[in-house]
This record gives sequence, structure tokens and C-alpha cells, in this order.
Amino acid sequence: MSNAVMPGVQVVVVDIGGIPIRLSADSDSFLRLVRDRYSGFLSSGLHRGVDLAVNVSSYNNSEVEDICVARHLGKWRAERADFRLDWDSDSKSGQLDLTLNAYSLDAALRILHTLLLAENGGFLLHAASSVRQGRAFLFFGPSGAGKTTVARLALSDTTLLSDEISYIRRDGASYVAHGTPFTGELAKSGENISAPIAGLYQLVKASTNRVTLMKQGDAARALLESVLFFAEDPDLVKLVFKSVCDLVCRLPVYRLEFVPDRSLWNVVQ
Amino acid sequence: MKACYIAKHPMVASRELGGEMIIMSAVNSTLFTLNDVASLIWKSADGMTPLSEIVECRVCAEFDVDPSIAFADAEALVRELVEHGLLIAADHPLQELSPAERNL
Repeated sequence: MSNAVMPGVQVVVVDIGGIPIRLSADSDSFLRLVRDRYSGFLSSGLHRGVDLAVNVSSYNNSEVEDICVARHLGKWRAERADFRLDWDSDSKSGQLDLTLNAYSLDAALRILHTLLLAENGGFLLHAASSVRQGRAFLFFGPSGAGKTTVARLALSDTTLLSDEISYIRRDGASYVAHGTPFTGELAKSGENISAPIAGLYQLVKASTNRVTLMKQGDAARALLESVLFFAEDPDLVKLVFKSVCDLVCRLPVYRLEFVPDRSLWNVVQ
Repeated sequence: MKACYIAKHPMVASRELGGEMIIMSAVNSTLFTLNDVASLIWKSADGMTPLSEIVECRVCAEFDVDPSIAFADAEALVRELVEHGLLIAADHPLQELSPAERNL
């Protein structure tokens, strides 16, 4: 796909996880939505990144009930009732058809980042994450585990990366967490910063605070339940499995039994 | 005794973590964990070594187990893993899988 911009088409660059995505569209409403929704994650787009031509319409494919992500002839298609994303990972370009809806765009961008990260040992995780003293701490678990609670209980010297979807990139032998605009119940965007990951914590509500280092196998199984990925493509499943296994071999993963107050930070070091 | 050769299904990813073999079906993302003996058989499933040799030379050499019982248990394990789509079994040597397919 060409980088040439057609008359009437404007470009806005959303930079999440250090990956700039150039969104080109001729819809002023869409461009306003992007600038408002991702205000802390906009960039000049000087670096070569990813190109996505956006067609804003009354897209509605009621035949697709749930999200469907599949690869055909080397190209990805992600479909849901409210959007369709076609993505060529070789040319790093694609097309997005969607309705004018922030949730549709969020979902499409999360899928695109999942595909981009999978090729490089990273992934998106259902986790709250914060940076404290230059190190990132991730708190993962299913809905109701306490991600929003932990995000709310951040200390004054912590910076929120996300209350819902944490962004993990591999950097050689280490891992870095990036802030994301993907929000959960807290509805508060993370800061657009990054930090090396100090540890990951599986959230378990309890009456006392206690941290237990998990065995690698247990850690991998727990993390895999919280990773955002799509089972329809075997190669993608294999990549995510490998990424998670690689991570648990390099980073500590803990089970965090916690009381829902700030004392939990006494055991998160 | 009928020969039996076993190989890992290419639609499966596996990794030994902390001495524990974890297997994931890439078809439906189901996770499996193997015990020590099953892990040894899994690691030996190269498509070229007969199951009888795997049991005799590896399982019985490493674990204190009666060979006939070990072989019966191994056959049961293979049947189960084949049913889950994790192993391929045949009465002839199977084409060797690539390192990426074996070890991913």
C-alpha cells in the first residue's frame, strides 16, 4: 500500500508501545475522535511504522457475532460486527472499515498490536500495570480479580500504565512494559511511558497480603489465561505460547494474595 | 508385537518449564501437563524410534518400573495423546519433523 495521501485524506499517528500507526482517513469526525481518544499517544509519525487506511462508514456485519481473526494467503483479516481489519504483515499496511465508534477502533488497534507483538516475543495481557521507581509491575487476572482495585490503590510515587490491558515488549533478554490508552473500569488512560518489568503478579483477593513465587509451569498456565490472543490461527497460538514460556524463564511471576488497600505495596517490591 | 512409532503433531507447541512439560494445542489452545514418565516419552517422540525402544531404553533405564507394565502404560498414554490430537502414531517410521516443529 502506498504512503501517498489522497486529497481530502488526513493522517494522524497513534504511537502505542513505541509502534507508530499512521491512520489515514477523510472523515473529520473520525480524526477528531482519534485525537481526543488517544491524546497522550499521538506522535509526528516521522519514524517508519505501520500504515492503516481507514474507511469510516456505517459498517455492520451482523453475520459475525464474535471476533474472528484468521490468516489467508499471508494476510490477516479480523472481523467483528462493527469493524473489519485487513492487514498485510509483510508490507506493514492495511485497511480498516468501521463505524464511528471509539470501542470499535480500540478493539481493532488491540488486535493489530497483538499481531505486531507476536512476531517479536511480546503480547498484550489482561493486567493493570504501574511504574514505580523506574520499574514496571504488572497485576494480571480475569475480570473481577482486582485489576481496577490495584490501579486505584496506586501510591503517589507510581505512574499508571494501564488499568486493564498491559503492553509487553521483548527487548533482548529483558522485557519492557508500555503504557496504553486501553482502559477498563477506571476509564483512565495510562501514561505513554515505558519501563523494564520487575515482576508480574497474579491477583488473588485475600484477608492478608502475601507474595509467593510461582513455578514456571504454573506461571505460564496462569499467564496464558490472561493473554489477549485468538485461537483461530495455529501459528499465532504457537507464537504466543512461545512468548509466554520465554517470559516466565526470564522474569519472576508471583501469586499475590492481597487486601484491597495500599498495604499491598508493602509486599510488591 | 505390532510396531508403533510416535511423533508430535505439528499443530502442537510444547515447552519444558522447571522440569514440567507443558503442551498447548494450537488448534483449540487447550493446555496439557505431563508427568515425568509421559514427558520422557513425549521428548522421545521423534517419529523414528519405536515405542518399544523408547520404553525399554529410556523409560525403564530412568525409572524403576516393570517393562511390561511400563509398555502397557505407554500405549495407554499414546492412545490418549493421539485422541487429544497431540501425537501422531503409526506402524511405520514417520517423516522426521523439523526442529521448529519438534521444539517450539
